[in-house]
Amino acid sequence: MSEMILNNCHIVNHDTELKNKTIYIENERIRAIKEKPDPNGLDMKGMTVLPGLIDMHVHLREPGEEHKEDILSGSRAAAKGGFTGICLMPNTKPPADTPQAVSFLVKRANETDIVDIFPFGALTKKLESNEITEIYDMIKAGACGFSDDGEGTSNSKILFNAAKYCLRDDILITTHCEDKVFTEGGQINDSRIALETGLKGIPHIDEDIIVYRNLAIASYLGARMHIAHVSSSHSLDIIDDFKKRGDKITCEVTPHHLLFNDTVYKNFDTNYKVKPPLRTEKDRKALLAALKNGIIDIIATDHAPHQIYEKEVEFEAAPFGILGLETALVSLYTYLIKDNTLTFRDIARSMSYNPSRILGIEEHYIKEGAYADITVFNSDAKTSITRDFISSKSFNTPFKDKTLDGRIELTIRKGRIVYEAE
Amino acid sequence: MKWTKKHLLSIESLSAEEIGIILDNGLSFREVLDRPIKKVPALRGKTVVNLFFEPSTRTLVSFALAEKHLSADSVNVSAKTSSVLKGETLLDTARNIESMKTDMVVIRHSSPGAARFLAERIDSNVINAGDGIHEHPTQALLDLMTIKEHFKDFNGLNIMILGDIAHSRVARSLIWSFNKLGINTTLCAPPTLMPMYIDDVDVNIEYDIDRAIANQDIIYILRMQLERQKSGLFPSLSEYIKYYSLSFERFKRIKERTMIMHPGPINRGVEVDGSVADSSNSLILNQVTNGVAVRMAILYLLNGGKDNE
Repeated sequence: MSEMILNNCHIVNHDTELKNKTIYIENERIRAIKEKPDPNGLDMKGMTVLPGLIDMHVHLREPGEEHKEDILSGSRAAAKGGFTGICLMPNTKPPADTPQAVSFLVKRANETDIVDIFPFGALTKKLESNEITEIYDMIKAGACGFSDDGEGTSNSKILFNAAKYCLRDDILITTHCEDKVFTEGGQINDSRIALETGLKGIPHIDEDIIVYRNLAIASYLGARMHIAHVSSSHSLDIIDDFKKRGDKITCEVTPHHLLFNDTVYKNFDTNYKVKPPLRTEKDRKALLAALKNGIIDIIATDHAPHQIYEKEVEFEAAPFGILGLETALVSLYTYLIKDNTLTFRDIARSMSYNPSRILGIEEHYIKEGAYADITVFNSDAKTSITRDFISSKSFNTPFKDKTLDGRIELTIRKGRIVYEAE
Repeated sequence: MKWTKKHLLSIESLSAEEIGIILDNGLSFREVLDRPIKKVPALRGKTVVNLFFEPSTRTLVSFALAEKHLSADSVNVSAKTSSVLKGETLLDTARNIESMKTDMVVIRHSSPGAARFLAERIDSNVINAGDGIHEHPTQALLDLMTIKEHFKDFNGLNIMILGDIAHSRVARSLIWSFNKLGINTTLCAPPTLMPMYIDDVDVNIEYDIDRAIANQDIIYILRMQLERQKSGLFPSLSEYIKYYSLSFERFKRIKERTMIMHPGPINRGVEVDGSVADSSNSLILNQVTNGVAVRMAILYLLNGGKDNE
């Protein structure tokens, strides 16, 4: 029997805050939460104790592009960022479009055994939007849901069939919404900045149109649908409309869309090059408001590793994508929590509780009997985002060489410390 | 005011004063071009590389002549656009060339921001000779020099830019410079060749050429890229010509006051009637001559510039 005791915990769940508690962890679970400090406990004074974070949108590049990231390096990065669970997107090379491919990911997850890994399977074979995959067998193999991610599911009828097939067991589908006829050659959001830089613009209607299409299909069928990385305020209006009708719809936003607007593109910095592109300040404000009022359910990073040599090229030649796992919470703390735009309860809700509900796993909530999945955040320390700090194999982050406020002190997954700050 | 900039990357980043310095120097160098021996020793011993990732005749020849007139040693490199998977990256190409001890790099590239990308990473002075549809600052400066030569003063001039503004780096550089210099700018093109978000800029937008051409001091005609029709931006060349070409009939109505400019090369009979381009109202060949002079001025000034942009 293994036991760990945390004293003086300031526990923040999505709906409650408890101060000066002592958490007793036994094996994988929280045995008790008590009032008095224990003489054998670790002191958590001044720390914020959150339920373990879950990132529902992660690219770990294994198999196929292990030079960018693999399941081991990505899991370490996740634990360092305070995540105890991550969902893998299926657009690897080859894509995770068979039960065997999902089994491989589950096997690798068990071998690395750092964070919980929930693989998304491809919705269509080879992500080509022609034929649906063996969805039921892939669920058996361990898939948490299905997505064609960046490829989208361009064929509306195929998406319709897939969503209908998923009605059995209410299987989760998450969709990346991008109408490629508007994004071909596009580099940044279409706005005055695109005019000034000469970088080809991506108008927000590319997202709005597909958000509407996908939700219309889901709503018509009564199917579940999760919308990945919303970036446009118009898309939020569409999502809000469908949610008001009571459809089974959820959506996510990334930290970078909450933190930056498209003026960053004036400097042609490829570390901000991402899809969907960073939009206007009006969009950013709308995303923040939607996160607060619940239209947006979760924050997910869309952790997308690319090597420095791939990003250190002229803007048009650089791939899309930003790292997220190791910077998500500290960057949100630095720019949004410190000034009270967001609270730690918002974090517990959008990065832990809601993701666990959407995935249909045990609720991430710090209470007696729950899994001991715990993230300890130290507001008084700082985190320098240096190459040495980052565990990811890549370093494509806008926070490169910056020092952010706050630090992940401890990540505990099922009663075991999987990351501890040095 | 003294020149301090190390690179010439865009018009947007220049002040009106800096534009003035370049043009004054350009007009001085213009005089050198009329001498029997067109050579000054200003850049003797300096090495300039003209690194062109896009085909170009006039800009490349213009830079090469400007460099020779200033006594610099220059080489021309035509390179293929880099790709992550195929061959050498832009940065490696530039670093390798710089390791041969160059002093200045003139770059033309299809990707917006390419010149700035190099300027941030190599020690040489960098001159943007066109980066995608971002900017073509030396073109705008030679145009401004031509306008100054003819009209003496910029303030209050009415200039119309006609044609494919959406895909034009020249139009962008001109618009930013006109706004800095107090010129009233009118843009005329079919809506599909007008860039998005141009309403946010201080310009007049006209879709009707016959209304737009009245009361202009200059009509600046852009080259029509014939492949635009294939991408569905206008239905046919003949409809484009009918509605947006500066035809001889249109020209007759305005020739008493309006001068004609064009960055070249001209598609005669498409964006402009051939006889209009050859008329006494045309400043097109003056633009070409001034191109050499203004590039001499830029090379000369940057050689003494220290500030990183």
